[in-house]
Amino acid sequence: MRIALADDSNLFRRGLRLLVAAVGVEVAFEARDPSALLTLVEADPPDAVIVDIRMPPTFTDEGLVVAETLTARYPEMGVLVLSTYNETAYAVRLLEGCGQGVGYLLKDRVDDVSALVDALERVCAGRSAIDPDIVARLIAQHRRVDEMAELTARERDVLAHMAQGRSNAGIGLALGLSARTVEAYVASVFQKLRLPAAGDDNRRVLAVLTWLRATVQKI
Amino acid sequence: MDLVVSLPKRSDVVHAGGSSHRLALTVAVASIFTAGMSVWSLWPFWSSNPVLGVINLLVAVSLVITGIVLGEVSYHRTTALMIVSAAVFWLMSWWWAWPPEWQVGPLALLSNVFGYMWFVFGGTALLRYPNAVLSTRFERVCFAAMAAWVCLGKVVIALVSEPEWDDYSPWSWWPTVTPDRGLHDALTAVFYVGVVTFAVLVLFLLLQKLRRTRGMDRLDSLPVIVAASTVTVSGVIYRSARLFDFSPQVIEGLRVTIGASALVTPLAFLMTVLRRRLARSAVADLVVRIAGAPTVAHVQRELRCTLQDPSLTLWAWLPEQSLYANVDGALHPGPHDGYGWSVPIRTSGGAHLAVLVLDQSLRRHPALVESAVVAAGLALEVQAQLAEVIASRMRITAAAVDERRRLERDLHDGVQQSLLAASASLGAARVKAPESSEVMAAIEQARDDLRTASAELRQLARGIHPAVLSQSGLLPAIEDVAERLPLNVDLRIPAQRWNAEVETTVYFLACEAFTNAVRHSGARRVSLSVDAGDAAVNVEIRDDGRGGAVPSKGSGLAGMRDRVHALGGTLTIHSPAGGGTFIRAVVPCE
Repeated sequence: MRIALADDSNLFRRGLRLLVAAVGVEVAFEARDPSALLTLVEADPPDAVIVDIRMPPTFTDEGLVVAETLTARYPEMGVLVLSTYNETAYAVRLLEGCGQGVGYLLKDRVDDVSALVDALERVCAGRSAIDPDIVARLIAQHRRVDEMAELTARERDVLAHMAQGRSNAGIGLALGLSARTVEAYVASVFQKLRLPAAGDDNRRVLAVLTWLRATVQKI
Repeated sequence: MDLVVSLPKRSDVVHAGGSSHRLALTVAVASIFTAGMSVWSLWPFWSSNPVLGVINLLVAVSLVITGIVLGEVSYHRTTALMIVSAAVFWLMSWWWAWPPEWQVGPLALLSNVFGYMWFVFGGTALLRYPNAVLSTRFERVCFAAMAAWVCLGKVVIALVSEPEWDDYSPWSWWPTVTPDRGLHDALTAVFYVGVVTFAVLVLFLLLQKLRRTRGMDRLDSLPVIVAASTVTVSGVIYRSARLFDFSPQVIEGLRVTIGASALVTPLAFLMTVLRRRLARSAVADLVVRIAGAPTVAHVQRELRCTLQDPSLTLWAWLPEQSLYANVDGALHPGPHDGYGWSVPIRTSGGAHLAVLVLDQSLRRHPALVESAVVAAGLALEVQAQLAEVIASRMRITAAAVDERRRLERDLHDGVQQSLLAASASLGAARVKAPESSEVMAAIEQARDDLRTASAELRQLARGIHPAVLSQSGLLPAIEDVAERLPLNVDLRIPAQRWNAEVETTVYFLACEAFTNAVRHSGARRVSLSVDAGDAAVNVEIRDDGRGGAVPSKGSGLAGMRDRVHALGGTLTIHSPAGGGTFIRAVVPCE
């Protein structure tokens, strides 16, 4: 796999390059800001791009913006947004804005190369990847207590994996279940939580995440 | 119009309102007492010449009333005492007409020696008003010389005369040494020439003062000075007539004239004092009412009411635009007299604040207008200063918010990136390290330590200033906080942006209220609503906990109250024991 890195910190880019190189992932090029990244990607599109959410010039949400641009221009390319913020609002915004082939990972994940590579592979395959910590936190809050109580422990596991962006096959692999069994659990969860049936896996991630966050009533 | 006049002193303001009943009572009692004393002092005239009696009674009573009204103002006390003394001496000077059996002991001599002191005290009181002091050394010397001349002159004359030569009873006690009619007449002539000279001198000093004073003071002094001039002139005529031995009828007629002209002076004085008092009490009321006037519109309403001019318009000066603006928001390059009488309003330091356009008829009441303008200037100046204080507090708050954002960014972009780079390198090492080796165990330990450090740093950074707040606004930032709470949270927040200070204040207020709800109140549910008004953001936070929250000194809630106040807002907390906690904040926003 050939990837590109975009982060304004030289130190962090060096660490990340070292990390992915250890598992044989080639870093085609590095950029320290979105415009440099877009120029380099245009010249030589890699399989996936890892971007920091905060980059020059404003250090706010450049990573999200460039992810939208990249997924729009290169639908095949996977984009993994790294963030130090455990803010689900950003994850939801990313999914809403990009559709598929995007992931939102906490930067803490860089000490676990297998999780990083797993996420990279998923976004390259056009799937979603949401950091397990974000999903775990949403589930752990035990809001919507009554509805959550209707789920069995196994159904809750399935819910968490759906929120992370795994396919039925992926969930089965992670939980040691057959694809058929997973399908049944998914159907049960959707029914109990009164979630509308989702068209594809990415929409499913969005629906589940939104449901998890939905105690917050917006006007 | 000169605006740098001294303000009504505190005592003026206090007396103007509260003690009018006490003043009326004092005036009534003193008038009756003075009238009684006048009836006694002027006893023979009630049958021989009642007109003269009545006039002189009125002179005494009006002098006493003038003194009492003037004495209400503490710094006029001495002047007031002089005026009352003048009334007493005035009455004493008429004792010569008493029947002989009344002129017992030293009464006749006292009347003779001190009778002319009314002139000394009256003249000095005129000179002291309205400044309450004799302004030049020359005036003080004149006062002493007059008093000495009047008393000592009469004593010297008495030494060479019999009492009946000065109209007193022949049997009254007199310090005669060597009676000499010729010497008596000569000395008397010299004495009266001296008195007339002093009278002219006082008149001259008064006129000089009139030339120095302007505005309200000049208007006050004018009638008094005119009246005093007539007294002096009629006094000179009377004395001249006595020297040339006119018939008793002429003398009697002249006495009525001098009495009548003497009456004009205290009446003019009284009128002036009362007019000042009325105007001042109206202005005192105005000052009190506009002291708390928060807006230009309020000041204008009070001015309209006080000056009884419903068309009065206040044009506030906008230095940035070089234009005037009225209460309705109309702009004007410069209101001029074509609209009415335009009077500038300045600060005590002379800076231009506004222009007041008044009805032309108010030109007849310049004193009232001048005081009202000073009061309005003060109110507007206070408002301008208040606005400046609020602006500076907001600048400080904004600087603090910027500083926190900078600090958070430093933590994030510096320390955090270094920690994460170390994590990544460690992740790479982990790939190479043999499974279940000591190296792997050490790497795992280091990884856990780094994760902890990173999490702590993130928490610290969020407490300093949450990045999501500046990036995405209140709704996502508060949502994020709410997601971490072990509570049911209802949020009603518009997806709208405000300036950083307002957002930061509302955000930390919400955090503080949530923390209280979780830690202290045992609430199960908390709701927060943010409503965007035109000029302010209204925030309401309610929980169903046990209540009893008190914003004690140094507490988080007290800190929040300070933050809200710094933006010119208000924070109210309603937290009855057992009744939940309700917090309402109104934060102004542009």
